[in-house]
Amino acid sequence: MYRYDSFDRDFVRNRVAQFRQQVERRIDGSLTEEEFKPLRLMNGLYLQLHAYMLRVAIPYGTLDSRQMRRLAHIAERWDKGYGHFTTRQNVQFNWPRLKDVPDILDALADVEMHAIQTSGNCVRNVTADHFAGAAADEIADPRPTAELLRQWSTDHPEFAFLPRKFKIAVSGSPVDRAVTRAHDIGIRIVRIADGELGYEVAVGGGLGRTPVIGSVIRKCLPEADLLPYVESVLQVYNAIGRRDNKFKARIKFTVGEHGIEAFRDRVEERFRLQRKAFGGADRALLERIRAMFAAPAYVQAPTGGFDAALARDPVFRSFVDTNLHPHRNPDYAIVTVSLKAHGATPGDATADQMRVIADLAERYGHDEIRISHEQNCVLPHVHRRDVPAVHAALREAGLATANVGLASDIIACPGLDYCNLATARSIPIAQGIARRMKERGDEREVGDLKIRISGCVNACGHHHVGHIGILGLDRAGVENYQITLGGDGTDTAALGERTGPAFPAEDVVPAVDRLIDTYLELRSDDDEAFLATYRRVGMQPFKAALYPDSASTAGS
Amino acid sequence: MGSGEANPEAQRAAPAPARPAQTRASAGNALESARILVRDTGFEDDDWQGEFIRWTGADPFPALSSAAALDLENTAQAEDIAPAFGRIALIRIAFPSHTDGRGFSLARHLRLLGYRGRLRAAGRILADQYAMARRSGFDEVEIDRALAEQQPEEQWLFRADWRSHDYQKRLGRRPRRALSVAAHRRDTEAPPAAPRQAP
Amino acid sequence: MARAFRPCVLTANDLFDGAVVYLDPDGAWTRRPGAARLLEDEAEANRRLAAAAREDAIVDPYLAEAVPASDGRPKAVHVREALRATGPSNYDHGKQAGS
Repeated sequence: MYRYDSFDRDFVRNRVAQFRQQVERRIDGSLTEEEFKPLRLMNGLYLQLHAYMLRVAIPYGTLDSRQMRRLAHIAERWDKGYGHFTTRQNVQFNWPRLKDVPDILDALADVEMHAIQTSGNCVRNVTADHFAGAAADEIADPRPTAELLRQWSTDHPEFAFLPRKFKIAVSGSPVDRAVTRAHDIGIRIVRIADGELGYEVAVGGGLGRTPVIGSVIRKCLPEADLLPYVESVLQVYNAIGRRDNKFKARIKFTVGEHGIEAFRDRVEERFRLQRKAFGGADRALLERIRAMFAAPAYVQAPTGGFDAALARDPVFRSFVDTNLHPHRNPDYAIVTVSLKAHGATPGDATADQMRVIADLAERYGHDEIRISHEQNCVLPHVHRRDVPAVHAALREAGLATANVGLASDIIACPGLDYCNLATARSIPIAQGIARRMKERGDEREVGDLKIRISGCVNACGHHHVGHIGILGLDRAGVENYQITLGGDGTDTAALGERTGPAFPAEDVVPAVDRLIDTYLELRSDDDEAFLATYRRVGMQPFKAALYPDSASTAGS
Repeated sequence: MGSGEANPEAQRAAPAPARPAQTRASAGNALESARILVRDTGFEDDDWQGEFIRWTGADPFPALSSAAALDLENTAQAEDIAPAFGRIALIRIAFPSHTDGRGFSLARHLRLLGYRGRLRAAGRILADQYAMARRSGFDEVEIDRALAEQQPEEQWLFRADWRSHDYQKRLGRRPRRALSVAAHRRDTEAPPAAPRQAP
Repeated sequence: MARAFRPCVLTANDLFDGAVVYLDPDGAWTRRPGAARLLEDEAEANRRLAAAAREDAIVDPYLAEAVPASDGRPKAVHVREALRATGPSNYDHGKQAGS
């Protein structure tokens, strides 16, 4: 993985020193809150419902055991003993004190981490496929590209005060696990010709209150042109993006209002100029970065222990069924550690759990950990012979929940329990559904089902792309939940369709229950997943199950 | 994808704390005595004695002499001004609010199009934005006295090290090495728009 | 049309740790929601809010609708304010832990 050189180290230390000075100026009154706010946001510090919240970047979701242990240390020393992993591959601490934040940032800098640009109207943490560098289906590792973009976007002088925040995701596989089409810029590595790689660039995707699937602005961008091209997109957006209405300020509205053709023309015109401003150092740096993402030194050993455990242990078998993915090296597996124990808060990990994951990565996983946008941890390189030992250790730590991809593997934003923007709670709904799935006991039979919950229209919980999406709203001070069906965040991306009137909080779990019953009745066979059944039969039977008393709804 | 900071406070319309009146850059002449320039060496009085001509999109070129200074809103089109670069000694770009970053991209665009004269950012700029201004191609920042009192010289000097810790420099992105207008014309299909009227 | 004034409390977050605070009857900031002053006069509420906006040790003050509970103490009307007054529902990490 990427290692800081003295440049990166000095940069991050210098930023901490700047922020330390800014915090002092805020406390002594020389900065007003209005002035301090964009500065603290540029350093990942929010003011939430009950306390400050520090959002720490985990660039493209990759970290090592030393970094994970440092997160555990921060959780214990300056927070309440846990951290929350987010849908943008970040980690959030919910209870830091303002004056401690510079110390926390110094502690992060010790292990080559920071909280820079995890908020504010700037280019945010660049995300990537959480199976990068390990997935069997990968064309190329997206992380060198993501790291190049991280460096380019860091402290970019023009783009710290954009009309609105700006998110970039990179995928290196034909299967899009990074939801690239739901990003301001979505980049997919493609084969151009003769082994030459390039990028397909999409702009103007996003969820939020107006979900839009991004439009392709360049089908095949040569690798060398990446930075000048992306910079041109940002310059055009900075100049013509709307600033009069924050709800129309994301680039998706700019692209929508001008049209993709006109937007592309402006970008291309700027690109001709920009291209000459980059002298080639970016390409040399990309090569250096790429070398740091070389594959680990794979162990060559028989995998017999794995097969024996599989034959012997049904609990291990079900773990393997759901939590393992194919690795490019057939002797290896990608192991997902679910942070979704039934009834737990999705994405939360205690300091002890973080240390268990760190130890396992160090001992069995070539010292690599990933955070997925699905709010789970991933050990991307585990030799198959070691999977039984990993499983046993996870079980002991309460981390062996075998539910990845199942109904209780729910994405949920922090919602109104923490977030200043939320209109309803997400966490209790997620907890309720997961507990209900455990009671039903048929989660494995139900199979692949993505439930996504957002506590407001900003859609941090990705409800638009959930097979079942749940959106919490505020109706006159009371929580209320809309349900959507048929969303899909993968390469067959689709936005969910609303079922009908919203439900009060206590009716959401029974409603999901009825949706699952309906699916089980309607599916053509055991292999037809929820989304496939929905696409085949449509909304009507699900609607009838949700609103049994409403004849008019059934007919509409 | 959303994960923005909530800002319902703003929507609840809490009254903003009392602030010093904003100085719009375009109102510069009237407030001349109140102008302070920030440079890498700290605060200075403005040494520009000439007039500022406000660019309105209509043709200002006849009024320009080699000693002319041009006042730009941050919505101006750099290409429109490019043909007159040789007759402008100073361009001043207005920053109406510290959260509006358009001026930075406009400065960069002017430099890329070949403007080599003096470039000034003026208005609501924070000391913390000084490095951004310098890296975007500005030579100096102009603030009013109220802002200078609130953000004294040492806070600006703290950011005078804008040349170090610069990722863009590391990536070989040339900040000031402007391409000449002639080279730009040669290499692009759409040359900068000609002035609407011969100067 | 502006909504008619309803009784409210004046609330904000503490600058140093972000904790939820309320204006109490003595004009000081308290962390105990039950000790908040119920403001029943619109002009008074707005005057207090304007004064709070100039204070440095608190952040983002605003008026939150409240009603007197049976014991006469102010009680939140909106679920958001109820959560601010108690803490998150998944862990006892907020005010519910301390008092």
